[in-house]
Amino acid sequence: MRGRNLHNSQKKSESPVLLDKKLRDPSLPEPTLDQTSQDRIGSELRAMYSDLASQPIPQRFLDLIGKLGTTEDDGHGE
Amino acid sequence: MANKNEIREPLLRAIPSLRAFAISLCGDMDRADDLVQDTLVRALANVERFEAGTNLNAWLFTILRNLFHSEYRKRRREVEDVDGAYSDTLTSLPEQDGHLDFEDLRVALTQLPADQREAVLLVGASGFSYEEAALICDCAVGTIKSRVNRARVRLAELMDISDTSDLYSDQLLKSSFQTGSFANRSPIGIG
Repeated sequence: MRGRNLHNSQKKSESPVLLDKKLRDPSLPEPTLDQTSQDRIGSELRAMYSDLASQPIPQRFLDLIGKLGTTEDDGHGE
Repeated sequence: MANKNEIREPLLRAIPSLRAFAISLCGDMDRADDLVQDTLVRALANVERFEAGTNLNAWLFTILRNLFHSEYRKRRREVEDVDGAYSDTLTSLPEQDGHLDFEDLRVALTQLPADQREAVLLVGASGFSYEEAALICDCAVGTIKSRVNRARVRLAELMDISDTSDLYSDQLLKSSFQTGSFANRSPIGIG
């Protein structure tokens, strides 16, 4: 058991580089991640995204699109 | 064919998700906003090339992605840069509530090769189909699928979500551990 643990810790330190290499190699077969982990990554990505997307639009973009002034009175001006 | 007046509203609606993509893609808010700005300028200048009724978001994301890559190639020539060097440029977002929660994910994203990062963002976060993402990235659908898959594996590893050390080991061995605590730790050594 002890030898195995040693193996594990050794594996941990070198696996990121190795895995990285493998993931960049298109000739290797596709690795499959378990569904639970896939789902977790998906929901984290979407949560981060909606957090970022919920921020107000910077004024410079509004100016650029020439929407300045008409955004607030939508429905009246046009 | 679309004109500027028709496209204003949809452009405005597209900005939040365009920004979210840009920030996640380059890990730097100022650079991201410059990218969005350049994208909008280019979109407005080429508005007659956009066909009304087609997917405006996909068109905008394509422009942004191309700008990102041409800028990246330029930077790469200037400084000897490698994939993953984005982590050095990772600046803090304003520390509003919630942002810190995604720190791990944001850092992990910067560690991915750019092609995998954009693929997983387009499909996993922006909600594009594999087909749309393939058009945006100008590659085959199968290529996008593979990039998304590999990006997920790498993110799982970087974020300690799953033990990915045996993903490439014998498929039979792997399948016998898929039930139970496979995700936590595989009792099998490297060989």
